[in-house]
Amino acid sequence: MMSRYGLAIDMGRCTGCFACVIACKSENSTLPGTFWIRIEEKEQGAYPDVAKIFTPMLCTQCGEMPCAEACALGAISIAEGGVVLIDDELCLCGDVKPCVAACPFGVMAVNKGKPAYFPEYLTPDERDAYEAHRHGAVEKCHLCYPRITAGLQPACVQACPSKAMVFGDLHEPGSELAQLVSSAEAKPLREDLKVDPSVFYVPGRSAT
Amino acid sequence: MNDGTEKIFSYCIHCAALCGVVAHVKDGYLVKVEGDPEASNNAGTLCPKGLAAKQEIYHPERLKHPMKRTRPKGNADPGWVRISWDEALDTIAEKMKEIKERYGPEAFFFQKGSTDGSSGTEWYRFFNRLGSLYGTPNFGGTGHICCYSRSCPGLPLHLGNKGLHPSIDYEKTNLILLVGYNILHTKPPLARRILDAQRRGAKLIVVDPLLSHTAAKADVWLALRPGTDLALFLALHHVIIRERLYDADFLTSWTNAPFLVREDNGQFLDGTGAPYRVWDSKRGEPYPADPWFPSHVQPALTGSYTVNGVRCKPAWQLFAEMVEPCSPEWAQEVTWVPAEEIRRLARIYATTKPASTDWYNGLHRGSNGYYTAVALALLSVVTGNWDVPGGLSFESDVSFRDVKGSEFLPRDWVGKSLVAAAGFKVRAHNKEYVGPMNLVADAILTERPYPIKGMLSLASGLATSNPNSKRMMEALGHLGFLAVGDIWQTPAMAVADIVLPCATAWESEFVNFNPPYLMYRRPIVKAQYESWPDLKIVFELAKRLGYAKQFWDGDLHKAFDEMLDPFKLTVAELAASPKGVRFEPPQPRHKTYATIDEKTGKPKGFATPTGRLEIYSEKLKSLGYDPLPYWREPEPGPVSTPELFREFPLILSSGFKPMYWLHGQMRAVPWLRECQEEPLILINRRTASKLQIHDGDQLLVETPKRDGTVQGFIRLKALLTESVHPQVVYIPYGWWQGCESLGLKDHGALDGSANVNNLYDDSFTDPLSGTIGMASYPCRVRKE
Repeated sequence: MMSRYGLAIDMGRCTGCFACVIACKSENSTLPGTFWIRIEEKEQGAYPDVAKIFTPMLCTQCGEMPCAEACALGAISIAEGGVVLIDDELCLCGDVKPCVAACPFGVMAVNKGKPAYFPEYLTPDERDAYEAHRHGAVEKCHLCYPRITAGLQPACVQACPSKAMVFGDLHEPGSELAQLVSSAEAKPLREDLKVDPSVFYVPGRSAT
Repeated sequence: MNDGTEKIFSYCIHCAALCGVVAHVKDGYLVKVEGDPEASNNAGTLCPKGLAAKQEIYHPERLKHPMKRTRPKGNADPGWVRISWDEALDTIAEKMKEIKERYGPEAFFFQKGSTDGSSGTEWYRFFNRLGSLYGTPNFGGTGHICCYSRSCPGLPLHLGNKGLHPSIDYEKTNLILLVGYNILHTKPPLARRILDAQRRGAKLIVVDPLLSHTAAKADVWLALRPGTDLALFLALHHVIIRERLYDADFLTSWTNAPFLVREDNGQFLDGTGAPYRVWDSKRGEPYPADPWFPSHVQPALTGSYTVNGVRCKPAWQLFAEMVEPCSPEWAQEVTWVPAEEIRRLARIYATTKPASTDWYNGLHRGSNGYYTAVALALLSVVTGNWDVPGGLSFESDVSFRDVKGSEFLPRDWVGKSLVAAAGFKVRAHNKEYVGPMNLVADAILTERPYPIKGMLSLASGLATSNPNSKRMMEALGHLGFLAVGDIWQTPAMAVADIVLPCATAWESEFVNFNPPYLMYRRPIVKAQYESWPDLKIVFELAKRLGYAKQFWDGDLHKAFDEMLDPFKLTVAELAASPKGVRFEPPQPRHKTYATIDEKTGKPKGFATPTGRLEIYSEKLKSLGYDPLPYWREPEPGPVSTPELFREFPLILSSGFKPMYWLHGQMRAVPWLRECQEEPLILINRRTASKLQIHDGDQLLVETPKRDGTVQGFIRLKALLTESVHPQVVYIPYGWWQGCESLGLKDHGALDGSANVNNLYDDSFTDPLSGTIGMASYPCRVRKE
């Protein structure tokens, strides 16, 4: 069977430290203001019976791809390993981005910031890396596609000081990821949407 | 690698945890830094600070070359002019010589900051060496706002821990009690270990006024009134004693709990020093302890006795009498923690074995910080969790040769230091930590006990990191000569004579233990612009001051060789392989106190005045301090200074760091700044609603001086939360720097800035440690 790469994120272990966010920045050289992963922080309850919940939000690589359905230009497709990719050359919408609006998780980003953090002071590799991100294009997490196809873990997974993220192949029954999913310990973020995601969440504690 | 990328193994020294990293370097430029999967501390993980190395190194607003001022101080524009390193260092050396000649070496002050951008935890040894050779006892560091209460220098009186930090075995512990310590964020490589312990069933209990990231993961969060931790711990002792949950054997065998204390003067019976006396309840008479006694003696821990007409009690009896009134109901009134929760915690803590305890600078921001730490540490002692695997242990004392050069100091340096002159008797012997910095400001402004005329400050947030920033800035402006080195421009530089551009740690070199390797950390890229590593500045200055010989003729590697001597290794041997030399530190050995000293035939005991763990510190008593950790309200505070709270009704607490910041550094790094763009004030939703404050509103925060007049005001954005009590507001510290890349301007350091240290009067101090009362400061807020 073909591989299907995915993640399980243990919200009981996520401390909201942003290591995943910076690892993603460092690996993918995304533009200022563009995030392929972000942390949502929520409080539940009232002092002192209050819980704080951190949820890393990134593209869940849905098999149903509501984003692709919304894209009239056919820029979004599923690549090997079940990873959803956006073809930069076809992503040519104007200011209205139907895919961004169609994503139920709000994890598709539009490049609209500066062309780099220090545009006047680029190192040689940054010159190439930042140029690859066109202003106005829609971008999102691809599970560090170049890394995972080279046998590495996504940058966020490796960096996470809490080891809150498990990367693996959902189609490999022995993998830790597949077991977390099959035991239903890890669940889709919004099961009701039935979008067939590859990214799952192990719920943390909530307020008593 | 085929694309020409070179992998350089190194370690990140942005905090004291040290994580192994791999730097990917291409054509001499850093491409990225990742965690090294083989490093045992971090196992491939890395925190935001280390991951952002690239934006720190190639930051366009770094200081680029040495500069001198051309306009008088007080002028808004110093008129900076670029100068050569030679001119900068010649000028500094000349001024240092001049000040020493005219005012004596103690009139020159050596200041360094914490680690992070610069690797201050490494090079400070040589900075101290320079100061020692110069002859000044006045070194400034950060201990007074960081870790006095945890490691140094008072706790050794009770615990004999020689200034070493607690070190917990998270694989063995079954209970983790953390106090004022956002450890999951501030010790990143421990995060996964603690979460693993919790997964295995260990209980995580967090005491903190704020629902920190760590408290958010706790099984039990005890939310208390800021600055009242001591009352909580005394109540825990109360329950433990009342319910007989203490380890009487351990107390009898290894602590001074059975030593008889005179009722009339609080000294041990028969005076200071061995033999001490215990009351042998079997024979009904006193028995000498040197400090040990034979097993046939059954010393009383409680009761009251008369020996030769002198009434006395065992130290434990006095301890028990101290905590007798500290019932959970009493503590509920003081701390706001429900009595039942306190009782429950006492029982869980005392009956779960092994139980560990750790704390950090949340405990060290109050005027009662010293005794708070003592009472907490003694919880481990009385429950028999002291120095057992999974209990409270301390780091092992394996280290590099001490090159700080204390031997070069004049003999009378202890008495000459500002700390000694200010009457901090316990602290005066420790030259590494001169703080609190208000002593320096006082000496500059009043010339008492003697004038401070010059200062060299490296990698220090002089103006913003210490309470009462206004007074500090005023004092710095009065210095005859001030040289400041840093990576970026800092507020203190506005009154400096010379400014030095320092290299980042990534561009500098050192040797360290990056488990499992003893490693030579080579620069991963060359220092940008004209910046120099702090260490090079120190060595070059040493030459100009005539100390070349004591500085290995300027050869850094010879200096590293000397540090490595205890390991019988040289820097060349470490440098010969990419990761250095594998090194297995000795396994932590527990209960070494019980091993028999061959010379004396007695147990080795503890490095305390009595040779036993000290429940009762006669030494402190003799120095004029309380021998026991009696309850004392934090000052200022709603109970100790109610008059200040009439007009400033909220309790301001600061402290608290998320993982992406270390103290006041790196706000200019855009990747990190995007994690939190604006300085915030955390305010409870109910309070905000009463004050008609909404999320994101800009607030003006004002605080009083001791006399009730306004100390200062700052501006911050409101973050509405349920993570703090309605009467408490939290202001994370360290905000002064802008981030040009994101269009965020500098905030400044004084009135109208976002610097919480501008809000503190520095006259509320812990009489023992000199720590300034910042835990529960009065304040008022309003929407602008």
